Parts: sequence; structure tokens; C-alpha cells
Amino acid sequence: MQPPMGNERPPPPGRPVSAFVPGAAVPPPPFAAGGQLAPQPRQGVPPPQSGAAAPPFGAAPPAAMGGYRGPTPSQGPFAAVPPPQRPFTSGPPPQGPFTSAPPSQGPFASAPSSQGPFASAPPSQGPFASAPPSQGPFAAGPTPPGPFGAAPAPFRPPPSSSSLGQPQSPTGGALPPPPNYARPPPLQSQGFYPGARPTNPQFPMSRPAFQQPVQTMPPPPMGPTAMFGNQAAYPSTGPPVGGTLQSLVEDFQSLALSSAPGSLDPGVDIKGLPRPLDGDEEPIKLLESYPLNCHPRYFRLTTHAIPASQSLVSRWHLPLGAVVHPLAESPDGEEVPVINFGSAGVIRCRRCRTYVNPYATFADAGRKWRCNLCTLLNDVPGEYFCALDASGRRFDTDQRPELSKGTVEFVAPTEYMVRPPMPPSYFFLIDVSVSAVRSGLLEVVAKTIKSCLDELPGFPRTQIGFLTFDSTLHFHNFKSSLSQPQMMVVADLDDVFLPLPDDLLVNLVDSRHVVESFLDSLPNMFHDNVNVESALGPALKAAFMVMSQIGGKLLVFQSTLPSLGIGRLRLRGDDVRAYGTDKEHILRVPEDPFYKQMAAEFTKNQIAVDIFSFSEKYSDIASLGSLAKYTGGQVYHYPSFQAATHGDKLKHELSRDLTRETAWESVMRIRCGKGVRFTTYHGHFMLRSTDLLALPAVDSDKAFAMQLSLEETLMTTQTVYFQVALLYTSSSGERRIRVHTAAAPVVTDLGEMYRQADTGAIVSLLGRIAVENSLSDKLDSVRQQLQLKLVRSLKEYRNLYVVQHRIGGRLIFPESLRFLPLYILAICKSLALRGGYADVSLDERCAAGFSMMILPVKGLLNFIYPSLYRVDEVITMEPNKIDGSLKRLPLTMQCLDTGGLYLLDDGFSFLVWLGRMLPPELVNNILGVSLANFPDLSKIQLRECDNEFSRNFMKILGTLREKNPSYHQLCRVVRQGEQPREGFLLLSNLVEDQMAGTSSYVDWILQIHRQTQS
Amino acid sequence: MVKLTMIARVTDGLPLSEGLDDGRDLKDADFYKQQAKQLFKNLSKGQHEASRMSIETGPYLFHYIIEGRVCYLTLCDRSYPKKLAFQYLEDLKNEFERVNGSQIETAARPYAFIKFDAFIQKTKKLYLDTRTQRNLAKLNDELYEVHQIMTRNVQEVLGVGEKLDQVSEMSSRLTSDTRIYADKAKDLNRQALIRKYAPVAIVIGIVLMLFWVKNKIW
Repeated sequence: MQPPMGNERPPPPGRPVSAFVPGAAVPPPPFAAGGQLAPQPRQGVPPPQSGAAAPPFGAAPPAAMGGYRGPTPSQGPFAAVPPPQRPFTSGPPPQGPFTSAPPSQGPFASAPSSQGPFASAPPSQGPFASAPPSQGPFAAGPTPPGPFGAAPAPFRPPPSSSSLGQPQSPTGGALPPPPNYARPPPLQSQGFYPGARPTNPQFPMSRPAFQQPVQTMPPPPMGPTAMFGNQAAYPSTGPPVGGTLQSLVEDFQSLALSSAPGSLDPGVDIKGLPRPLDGDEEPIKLLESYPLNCHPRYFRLTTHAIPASQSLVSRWHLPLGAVVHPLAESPDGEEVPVINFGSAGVIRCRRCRTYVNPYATFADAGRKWRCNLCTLLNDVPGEYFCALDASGRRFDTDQRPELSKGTVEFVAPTEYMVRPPMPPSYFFLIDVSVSAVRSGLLEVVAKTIKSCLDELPGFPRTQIGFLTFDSTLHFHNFKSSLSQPQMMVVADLDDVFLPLPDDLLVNLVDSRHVVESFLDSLPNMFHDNVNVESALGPALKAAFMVMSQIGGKLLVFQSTLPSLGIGRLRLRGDDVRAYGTDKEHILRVPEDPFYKQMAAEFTKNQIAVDIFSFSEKYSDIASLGSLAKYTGGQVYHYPSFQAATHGDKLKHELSRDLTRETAWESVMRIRCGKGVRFTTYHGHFMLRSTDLLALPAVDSDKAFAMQLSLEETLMTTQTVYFQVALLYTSSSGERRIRVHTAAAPVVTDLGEMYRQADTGAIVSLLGRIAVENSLSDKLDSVRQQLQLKLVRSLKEYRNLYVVQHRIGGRLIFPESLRFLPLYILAICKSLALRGGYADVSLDERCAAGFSMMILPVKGLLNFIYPSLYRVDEVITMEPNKIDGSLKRLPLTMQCLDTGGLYLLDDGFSFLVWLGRMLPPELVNNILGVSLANFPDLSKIQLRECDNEFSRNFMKILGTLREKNPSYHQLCRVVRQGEQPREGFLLLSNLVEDQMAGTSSYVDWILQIHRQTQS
Repeated sequence: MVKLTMIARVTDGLPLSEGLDDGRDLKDADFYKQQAKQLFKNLSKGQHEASRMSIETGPYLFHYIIEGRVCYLTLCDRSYPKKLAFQYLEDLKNEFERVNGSQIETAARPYAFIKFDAFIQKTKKLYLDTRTQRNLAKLNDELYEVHQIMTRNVQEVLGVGEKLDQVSEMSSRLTSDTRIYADKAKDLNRQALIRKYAPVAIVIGIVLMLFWVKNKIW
């Protein structure tokens, strides 16, 4: 290519030169500009180029052109070209133009001022602006942008393939010298574009040249170009540090704008950094290319491109795996279709047991079907037979959801039942020791349960039972013929026995009145209890005996550290001295193996345990939580529970737990095609065999993550299929199999893996791995591992492109992962992993860790990067406009205006922050108290007051809560400058700011950038 | 006393309902449940002689009644009065038909009437103690005749099915064997024929050829 180019060029040079010169001076230079621009854009060194271009053009534009063309191939121009560049040389040797690089920044800076060039919009402004190349060049690479755009356009096409590589060269060139900027600016005006075209005239050859290059370049501009374009744009600035702040800013923005891989310069202005202010982005676009896949809300791969070889896997430093949310709530109108195969039985592959799915193909006139996972040819049962049309599709495909939808439910025949479907059953284990009585816990629990009795799933089969305990166990007989429950006390903790064979777990319908009268009297029954002991271990054993026949859900309300009998725990204390040593992690793992053994027994008998912990002191959530961890349960932690403040939260979360649709006695298995295998699973479950997850109960608030590995060194298939199958009993007593099927392509290109990466899934998986690692390692090293993973992956990505593009000093990352650095920073600063001893109490840390292990992607992202809204303006609006006007803000102190009212929502709690300069009336109206009285804000309860502000404010809270019904967000109020509450409530959640021992977002980016370069 | 209770459709052996936490005080509960399922399977093949029957198995007895295409089956201790057991099944039957009678034929999924387990549970409790006044009265009541109800061994019953299976298997093997035999016989016949006439035919052939060659040459 180059040679031809070269030849052609020669002629052009002469003309061009002249032309260019003028052009350079003025817009006419389009060509020149074009040429220059082109190179630059590609390379992403626009600035320099522009600068360079201008000068060069003037001097030896032709050369430049030639150079470019030749180079089109990228480096050609720069590398090779440079020499040829005489034209340029005339000006300043190549460098001159490029050199401008430094200038590049300069120019950019000057031109667009900050964002100028890169910024999509801004660009237009500066000289480059004309180019706004940013968009033009970078984005589509389409000529649009003035100088850059023009030039690039031509080049790009040719280079398409090579373009990638080439771009860099320009950059490199750019780097050197500076001074031509001044001129460039003039060029910029869109004149260039026009110019560009004119160029042809100037260079008769030129056009051809361009075309030729393009053609020759073979490279298909398309994919690569676009990407490169972007990159190029970014790369433009070679030297990270060198630039002025402005220049940085520009780069940054360009990054933000560009949709492809980008590069970051250090020192970038904070506003330009990518932020996930729209929350989680479900990769729904995949459904366009894979319409038969299940919706991503059920199943998300960390990258929708399966690497074809082991070596590719090792170069993908992020986790390779999936996040499964089998019972995700589907919006109205998208209910999962239910299929009953009747006498044909469920159609499954003989060998790998895959369920029939939309990707299965039919053969032999419809008598056989080929399993898409293992490619075995299976017989189609007579009852299921249907003829095929000319394309091999069954005629009834559209009538059969299992052949046309990625998510379906099958009615399970008898073979899928070991026993008749169990009734939903709830057993409550309530600690009635003195702390529970004093905090008002019993009252809230009793009232809530009573209010939920009507809504418990599974009417009329629902079973219910209660056991209370302090230093003894109190059994309650709910026999339906009684009018009052009978209490039986068992004091023998070493050898627990059941005082009654029946009636401890009873049918709710039959014994409703007894249960109600028990709940009414529960708070008073133990009103005078002064017992401080808690025999949780024996109580668990007793509960196990009661429930073992049926299974169900065990809800444990624990308000002190278990102190008696088996399973007693001691105050291990949150020891400062342990932090930073090898013993640190021991604090976060269960102390007594009793709990894990108990959990194993529970799972075996289909019992799921939910832990509600209320202690104001240390209560060893790490040990208690393992009950939930291995039984598919959940941990709720209410530190220092007080009915007055936390009552609402407990009430809502307990009712949610009791009334949400739950799948019972379930097992889940994920099958995948040949060559890949799921190796590790993360979440709350018990692994029954290598790949069977036992889930005594599972609901829409729980998600699971798993990691993939390749079994073969080389994948031969084009597509890998995944199938999630959850066999469960619904509350109504039906046995069902929920099946999600998805396909993903196998790729041989690492770049494609990055392009298809799903930040949400990656963060979810990384977060879970980090939490698990924190059980066997120091927090510090866990955070370092996270950082290392990020750095390695970005480095690998950088290596993919940096050489070709000579992006030099910029931080580049794929568009798909633009939020990843911030999210990883946020994981490091999350409740579960942040800081050390003093930052979070051990119990809270463990509880947050347990929550992170089950949260679905969306919830997790919101938990680690909470939403911050400014609401003082919104609450003055019309009530019906409120919903749309809440905008998320970046989590940094700089976004907080002292005259504002802010709301922080992390999915578990709300924090209202009152700016210092906030008008007092507003505050008084919302709080219902006057701030002038210095009320204790930690005790304040937000209630709807009789004024518009308050009503609107409560409406905002209501809308936000509706969006996330899994938890009830407790609302706390804090005033600006109110220490120390502001510190741990708000400041520690502003993950973009610097906190003791952690870096701010900008520092973090710089740090990552430095490390990716070394 | 009553250990297990199961209700199934006779036409296809589909289980319709079952007692809640059945088998809690029964060792080998799974084994007996398995046996019960096998019984249903046999019944669904139409191999039932009587609509009421008792079947011995280990230390227990299965009792079942078949009524309206539904089989009500229970497992009791041997010492438990037959009369009471059948009375219990009769109670279940009446209630089941009253509540679900119309939907029995259309039930498509297993345990479609699992909600009935609550009633089973309750009724079972009434029959737990044989010496309550109520149960004694029932025992003395001669209205209900259980003398003629046959008692057989579970092996026999399940064996009937097995034997039948064996017989049909043997007969089918016989048919296929005869077919093979016939084929082979035909084959042999053909071969015998060939052996018999082949030498003669060859000799004649040669002679003819010689004639022909001779004619050609001379």
C-alpha cells in the first residue's frame, strides 16, 4: 500500500504544498487539514496533528498526505512517512507536526479549552473543534470532524485493519513538538471538511490516493475503525502528566464521550470521569442478536463471548463466569409460560439431561432432536412429534413456548418428587431474653407476624410454629382444639427433647385462633423476663426436631450472643491488634463448627434459616450467619435495635420475608456445552454434588454467581449454550422446573471479549469473590487483589492496542468496562471490605458481606455505589412531576451544596443530609421540628407533616422504596458538620472522595494508570 | 395405627394426594412408599381382582379400596383392626369425592389435590387410638363386612405383574424366534436344492459349451 501511496503522493506534494499552505493559513487547507487531521484522529493525537498539520501543510502538506496514505497503514505514515515527510520536514520534520503533540495538548487546551476537541460537543469550538473531531474522528471515524475528521476519514478506511495499529504512530509523532497550534485553530473551522473534499482537486491524485489507501488498506474500517477512532482520540495526548489540567480535562471528556475503548489522562477533571449514574445497565442488546436467550435479568455472563482457548482465558484477568437470578421478578406481561408435557414426560437429552429448548434442532422429519449442549441425537416421543417445515423448523414452534422462549417453566411429573410437595412452613425461634424485651423487639415481631398471617403463601396448607428461648426452651402447643396456647418449658439443654409429638408446628388455618392469641400475648408473656442468657444452640436443635419431617423456613430472632448449651459463642471481640496480622480473617469465620454442621443438617431436611440479629453488642454474626449461608437463607442485621427507630424497617423486611413468593425444597443446576464447566459457585446454598446447588428456599431477592473454566485447551464449537434449571415446589404445592437457556459465541479475539464484557456481572462476581477472600485473608490483601485484577486486565487491554496506536501515556479501557475502575474502588470501600478495625464494626462488616453474597446485580451496584439525589428543588415541584426529576449525582463532597437537601440511598437505608445554608422553614417543615431547638437528629422520625414539602418528600421516599422492595430503607437525618455522625453515615459512603487511607477516584485512576504502564 | 395414606388415580397411577408428614414414626418409610407406588402401577395395568383388598408386607398390612377410578391406600400395623382401617379409607373416599370428585379425571399434574392432606391428617388422628369410644363403636358395628376381603402377600401381588411380564416377554421372544427359525429353514432348503442340482447343471453346462465350441471351430 504504502509504496503506491508514495508514488502517488509525490505529485500531490507539490500542489498540496501550496494548497496546503494556504489551507493551513485558512480553511482552504482542508486537504492539508484533512491529511493532518486524518492521521491525528486515528491515532488519537489530534492535537499534535492539528498543530502539526497546520504547519506541515503549509510547508509540505503534500508530503504529509503522502505520508498518511502510505501510512494509512498507520505507522506507515508516521514511522515510514516521517522520513518521506520531507514535506513535513520542510516544516519541522515529522516531529514538528507531531511534536506539536505536546502542543497537542496545548492546542486542544487552548482550543476547546477544556473539553474542547474531544468533548463531542466542544470540539467544534476549537480549531480542532471544527473537527470536534472528537466525535467525528473518534466515533464513527467518519470524516465529520474538521481537520482531524477529514484526514482520518480517508485514512481510516484504508487502514481499517491496520488502522488500529497505525493510529498510534500518529500519536507518537504528535508527542514531540508543539508550536503549530496557533495555525491549526484557524484550520479547524469546518472548513477542513470542505477542504478535505477539495483536497481531491488539489491533489488530483489525492482522492484516488485516499481511496486506494482505503481499498488497499483492506482493513475494514468498520469495527476496528470505530474503536480505534475512539482510542485514537484518547491517545492523542501522549504524555499523561505533561499536559495542563485543561488538556487533561479534554482528554477525559473525550473519553467519556467516546463509546469505544478510551484513554485517560491523569489529572483529568473529576467531572469528566465515567460514572454509573444510571445504575445498572442490563445487556439487553444481546437479545437482539440472540432473541432466543433468556432475559439478562435471569442470567448474565461476565462477558458475552466465551474465549476459545486456555491462553485467551489466562489473558482475561477478570473473572469468567455468570450471575444467575433464577426467580427474578418479571414485569407485568412477561410472566414465565408454564408447560405441561403430560404423558410425553419432560423432554430431555438422554445423555446430558438438558431440557428441550429453543436452540435444540430437529432432524429426521421431526422424529429426532439434537441436543444443543452435547449434540446427541435423541428420539422425539410420539406425543411430542410434529412435522418440520422446509427449513427444518417445527410447524408448532410458535405455539410451544419451550421452543421459542429462553425462559419457561415445566410442570414436573412424579419422577421429580421424592415426596409429595411440602406445604410452606414457617417456624419462629425467638430470643426472649432481657435485651429483646427491653428493645421492644417482641412487640414488633408479634405484631408483624400477626399482620402477615393472612398473606402467608400456601393457603390452606401453611404450617406455622413458635419456639421461644432464653436460658430454657419454651415450646408452645397450638393444638386447634385449645383456646389458649400451652407453654411447655424444657430446661435440659444438653439433651433436648420434644415435650409433645405433634402440634408444635400446626396448620395455620386450623389453629389460627390459637396462634393469634399467642401472638397477642407474646410481648406480655415475657414482659418481666430478666434472664440475660440465650441458649440458641439447643433451641436450634429443638427447632430441627420439630421441622425435620416437613422442612420449611426457620426464622431466628437473636438479640444477644448465644451463651448457653452447645453452640455457645464467646466475645471474640473485635481486636484491634488482630488487624493487619494473619489472624485477622479468623474474626470473620465461624468460630464453632456447630453452626456449619447444623446448617448441613438443616439443608438436608429442606430447612432454610433466616437470621435476624438485633444485638447492640457483639453477637458474632460471622458464626450465626453461616446458618443462613449454607441453607439458602439471609442475614438481617439491626445493630442496637430500638422499636421506635428500627421498628418500621423490621416490620417491612419481616413481612417481605414472610409474604414474598418463595420456592421451596429446590435444587439448581447449571449445564453448559462441551468444553466449559462451572467450577466455583458463590452465594447462599449448599453444594450437594459438584454442580448441584441445594436451596431449601429461594426467592426473588437472591442471586447466585459462578465461575467458568475451560475444560479443553481449544474450543471447537462456535457457540456455547448454558442452561439454568431450578427444580422447586411452589407455595401452592406444585412441583415445577424453571429453565433459562442462553447462548454465547466463542471468540478467538481478546478484544471481542472486552467489547462484550458486562460490568454489572463482573462487579457482582468480583464482589462475591472478594468477600469470600476476606474470610481467609487480610482486608488489605483482598483489596490489593482486586486492584491487581483491575490493573492486569487494563494492562492486557492496553497491550492490545497501545503499540499500534502509540497511545503512550493514556489510560485506556474498553467502553464496556468504563465504570469498572470506579466500581472496584467502591467494592474496596464497601461496608464489607473498607478500612480496618475502626471503620466498621465486625458484625456490620460480616452482615454486609452476607448481603453482598446474595444481592442481585442491580442491588449490589446500588449498594456499593449508592444513589445520591438533590431533593430540595424537587420537593417544591408538583407532586406528579417528582418521579422523573430525581437525578443521581456523583458521590463526592463537591456535589454537595451547603444550600441543598440531599438524599443518599444505598438500598438498605436512606440518609438525608441537611446543608448548612438550607432555609430553616424547609427543614422544619420536613422534620416537623424546629432545628433551632437542636433536636437529637439520630432519634428523629420522619413522618408526613401537614405541608406540601413534607408530603412531597415522603412521596419521594415512597417512590424510591417502591423501586426496591427487597429491603426497607430506614431514613436517617444528618446535618452538615454534625460529627461524628456525618462522618460514618455520609462521608464514608462518598466513595469518590478521599478517606483515611483510601484514595479518591482521581487518585485511584492515576494509580491504576501508573500501574498499567509499568 | 395408620402409617401411610396415599390416594392415586387408577387409570394411570398418578398420585393425587398423600398424608402430610407420613412415615414420621415409620422406619423404612421410603421402602414402603416405593412398594405402594409399585402397587399403583400394577393397578393401573388393570391387574386388580377386587376393589377391596389387604396385602401383607413385613410387619404391616396395606389396605386399599378402589372406588370411582381412585385408589385409596393405607399402611397399618398388622394388629390394627381391619374394620377400622377400611372405615378410615371409606371416610377419606367420601370426603375426597365430595371435594374433588369432578376434577379427578382432568388432573394433569401429580399431587394435584395435595391440599387434601390436611383432611387426611385430621381423619388419621381420629383413628389413631383404637380404644376411643367412637372407634370401639365402629368395631362393634356389624354393618360393615370385612370378612370377605382377601388378604394376600405383597410379593404375590407384585409378583403377578412380574410373572405376567415374564410370560409376555417369553411369548414375544418365542414369536421372534419362530420367525428366525422360519427364515433359516427357507434358507436351508434353498441350499439343499443347490447342492442337489448344482453338479448336474455344471456338467450339462460344460457339455453344451463343448458342443458350442466344437460347432464354432468346425
